[in-house]
Amino acid sequence: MSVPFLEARGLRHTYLADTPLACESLKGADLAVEPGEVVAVVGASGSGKSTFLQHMNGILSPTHGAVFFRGRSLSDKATDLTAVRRRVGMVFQRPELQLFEQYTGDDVAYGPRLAGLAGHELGERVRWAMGLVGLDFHAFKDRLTVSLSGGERRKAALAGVLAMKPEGLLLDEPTAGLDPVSHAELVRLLAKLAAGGMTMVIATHDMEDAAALAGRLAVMSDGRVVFTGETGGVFADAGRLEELSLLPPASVSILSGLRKSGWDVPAYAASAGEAVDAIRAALEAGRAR
Amino acid sequence: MESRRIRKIAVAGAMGAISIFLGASHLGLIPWFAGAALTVMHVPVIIAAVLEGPVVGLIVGFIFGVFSAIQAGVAPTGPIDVAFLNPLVSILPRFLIGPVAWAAYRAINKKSEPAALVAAGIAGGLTNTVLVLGMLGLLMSFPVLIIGATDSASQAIQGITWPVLGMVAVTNGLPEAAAAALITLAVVAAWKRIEYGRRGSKVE
Amino acid sequence: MSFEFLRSVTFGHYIPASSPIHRIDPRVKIAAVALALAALILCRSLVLIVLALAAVLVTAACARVPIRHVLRGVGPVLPFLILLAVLQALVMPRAELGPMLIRWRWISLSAGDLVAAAALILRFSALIAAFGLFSSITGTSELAHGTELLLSPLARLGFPAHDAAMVLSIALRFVPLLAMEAEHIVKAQASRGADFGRGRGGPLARARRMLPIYVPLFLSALRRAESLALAMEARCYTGGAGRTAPAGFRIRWTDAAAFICVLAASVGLVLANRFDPDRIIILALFGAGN
Repeated sequence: MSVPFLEARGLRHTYLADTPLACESLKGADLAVEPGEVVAVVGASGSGKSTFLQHMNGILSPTHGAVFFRGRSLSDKATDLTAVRRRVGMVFQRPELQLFEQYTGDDVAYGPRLAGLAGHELGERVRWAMGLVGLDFHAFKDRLTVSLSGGERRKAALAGVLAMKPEGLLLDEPTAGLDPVSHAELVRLLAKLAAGGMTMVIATHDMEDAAALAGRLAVMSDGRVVFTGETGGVFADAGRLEELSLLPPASVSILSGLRKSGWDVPAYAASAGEAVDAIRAALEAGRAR
Repeated sequence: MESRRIRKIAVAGAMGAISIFLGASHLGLIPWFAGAALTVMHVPVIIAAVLEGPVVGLIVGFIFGVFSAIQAGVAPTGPIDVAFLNPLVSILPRFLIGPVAWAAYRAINKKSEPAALVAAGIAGGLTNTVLVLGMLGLLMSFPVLIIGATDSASQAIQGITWPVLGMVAVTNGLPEAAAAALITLAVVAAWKRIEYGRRGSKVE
Repeated sequence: MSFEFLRSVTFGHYIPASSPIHRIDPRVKIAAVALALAALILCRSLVLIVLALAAVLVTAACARVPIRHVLRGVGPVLPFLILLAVLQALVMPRAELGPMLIRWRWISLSAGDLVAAAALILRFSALIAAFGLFSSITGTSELAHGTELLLSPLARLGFPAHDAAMVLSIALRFVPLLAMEAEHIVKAQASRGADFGRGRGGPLARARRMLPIYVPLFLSALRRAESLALAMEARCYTGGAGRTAPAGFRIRWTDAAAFICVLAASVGLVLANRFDPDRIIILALFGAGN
């Protein structure tokens, strides 16, 4: 029996406990993520997605329940959380906030340097990470961090996390606030990482992203994971979507609209491109009018 | 003109907020040895003065002072805090941090902006240390103003106050001035896009 | 490391409730706490301090603020206060006052010493309680408005009172935002492997270790200031007089009455202090000398 990459069991968490402002953000959340899987955590604002994610690399500790990384409990005093955070990287919302070094190269190097890398090895790692996100090493390493454009800053922040060579990534709204071109670029990057075996948990509002990247969907509501299921299956089930108050991605809406008119097309397509292919196939096969 | 004034108000408010926050959250304390700590709560005052002038520095210094007094009253962390309930110790010395830092900055910034920032940080930090400790020392002679100490008790300890204060000034004040210089340089250089130190990252 | 900075800046002070004490005009509250502080500073006598402390606690009860909350600040300093009091009693005996209680080698403690020691401890406690009560009944926007109104007469002398009040308002509004931002930043850096707890190295090394928090925080605040300035300009902020006054702050007779009470109590305290009531009571109870 394989050990899940990350497992959350019965997580409960209260913000500002013991104060009049206390609020219970997690009320018993469970999720198991297998190695190499990409899970999208979706749900309304306030459902606890960010809080949930922050438990997965030990930034937050639950008041009840526990998180396990490859079978190791994060609540165990003996667990080295710093080491866990190198292996499970976290990309927060607006990650460009974490940039602090004068020069871009130095900021990307921050994580690996803390991990003990130095000299030529460090340089190679930074070059690799920057290359992954599309920032040319020589062009960008000596640029002032504050002089980078918005998209470049986000790439630099991402490179900073990838430079630690994590086995898994936790991403909180990774595409929020990006212009369409950068958005598409980032999705391509994440897909590439996933194809390379990176385990990912992505909290997102963007159903297109979820459809494009995630094999499995976990729906959160009011501090609990109320449903998990294979992405295609969830989106194809209109009744289920309504029950969970989810809006499907455009590709699914189009297909479902066409199906209602009697076209014989599949109920689910992970992207616009796939939807177009499915529609064209149906037209050519005479299954549509 | 109007937009300059509005900018000053906004920056003063923002830096005042940082000063309050650093104090309230203890993020403004860098742990030093043996339970002591270096404070960096004067740094927003210095930065405000460097960016927007001595008057703004004065205002942010005032905010810093008032909130350090409130903090001392509501959530004190040690015996010295009670001295800070006295505005002569907590507020009056803090007025000067901004203007002194600004003066130091202006004296050098035509020649080298980074050096001027370092000078501002050091000057501001030293002003804070010297004036606050100096005020504490002066008040030892007027015990009724050191809230709580009786006349005779203060006279008894007066013999050792100045050397003790001097020692604190060196062991705490110098490191604090250095830390203030570092942070002022890093923040203002980033904000104004000035390069300093080695040109380019350390990564090969 | 706890990442909850919002806790330290929002909670811990203001207790929202709707008591007549809470409803007092903020100007009166500020003036009252200043008077109370001054009176306590000048007060030597244990008896008077106890009365003052009792008055503070009774007011807290009327304001429906838990006594425990008002006295929260006393806890951390209590050990030091006791130490200070003991030192004072040993170093500066008031041997002439009241019966000698302990005489052992070079240590002599009279009743007068104990009274002075108790006075020291309770004076600090009363000061802290007064501050605690003030912050429990005064919300941040109230504080900003109150300060602005108090400072506005100075505007006639050329002091930019309205601008100063604006600065205070902005600062108070920014603090919770900065707290959340700081939480975000610290978590992000911790996720990259930063450990701000462990300490080693000289002051520069330690300060440099904190730069990953300080630099983004300051820059974020400066950016917010810039956006705010643009927004203010876009709304044609001219500042100074002519701005619509904060609504509803008028001195009612209840406020005036409250102020007069505090004023009378403070003045009374200071005057009574000159009669050294402690001495009178101890002499009455124990007679002069040992």
